[in-house]
Amino acid sequence: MHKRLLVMAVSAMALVLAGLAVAFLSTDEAKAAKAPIRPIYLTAVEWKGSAEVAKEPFPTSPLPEGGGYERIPPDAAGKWNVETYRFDSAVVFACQGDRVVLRIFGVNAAFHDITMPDFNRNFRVNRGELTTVQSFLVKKVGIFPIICLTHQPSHRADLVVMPC
Amino acid sequence: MGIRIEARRVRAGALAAAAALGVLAGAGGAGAAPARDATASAARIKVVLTEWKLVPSVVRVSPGRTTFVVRNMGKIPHELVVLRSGRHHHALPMAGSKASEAGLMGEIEEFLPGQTRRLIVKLAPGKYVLLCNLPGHYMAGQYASLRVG
Repeated sequence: MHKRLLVMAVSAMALVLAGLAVAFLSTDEAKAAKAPIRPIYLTAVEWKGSAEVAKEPFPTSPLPEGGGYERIPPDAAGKWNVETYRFDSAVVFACQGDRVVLRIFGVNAAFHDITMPDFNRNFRVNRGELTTVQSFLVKKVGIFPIICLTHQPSHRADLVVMPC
Repeated sequence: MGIRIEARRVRAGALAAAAALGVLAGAGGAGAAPARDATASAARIKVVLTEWKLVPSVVRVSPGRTTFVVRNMGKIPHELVVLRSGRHHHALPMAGSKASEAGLMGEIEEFLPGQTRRLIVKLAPGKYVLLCNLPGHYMAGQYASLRVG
């Protein structure tokens, strides 16, 4: 009789423990813990071009404010310059459910203050440093911007999360 | 079972959030919006900088010597610029990725997260704008208005 009760009690306890394990594995934390890691590398760069007024007149059309586009007027020799900040690559991909580990390398400009409003990430990338952003889980499908506030509006990349 | 555990976690989270809100509301501390009709009894203004907000403890002070006690509670460097300007605080003219600093009254150069800096400025009656003028920060919303007198 006692042995039977003992077996029943152990079985019941095993069932409870199994239930708790299933419950834990279905939580966001557990899903996040076993999410595939998606490493993404970006580089902050500046593209430059130049011309001479003798061959190309200096453009006068307005450029947007924000520091992302710059035009340097002709010098004494008539040479003018143009530059813009960009991310290489400007579009990056992840699968829904991935844990993204984003690393950005600063090549041009002393620093870039970057925001990812959808993931509450704000950080600075200094020239010559590979900045690793605190990893985050991409739960939703969509297009999520990575915005350099220092050089707007051109210096921006989009993280595309797909249901793969 | 899983649903019940989740529900319990949500309830616990909600209670914690409510408690945190209560503490913030009671203390009027960092992250709390300034009282719109508050006037500094002493000429001392606490300013909290985060991404991408600038929250002063008051929005009106009496003329005279004013001390700004500025704490960077963000994750990246910030600065404080005090401008005397008749323009609306979100309509300053731009110069590239920064606001024009016409009417500059004082400045705390960029400082690191977790640090506190002080700035003493003598303010005459008028309208002022407080901002972080690191490139892009003003455009992102790091500003507030201050009325003196």
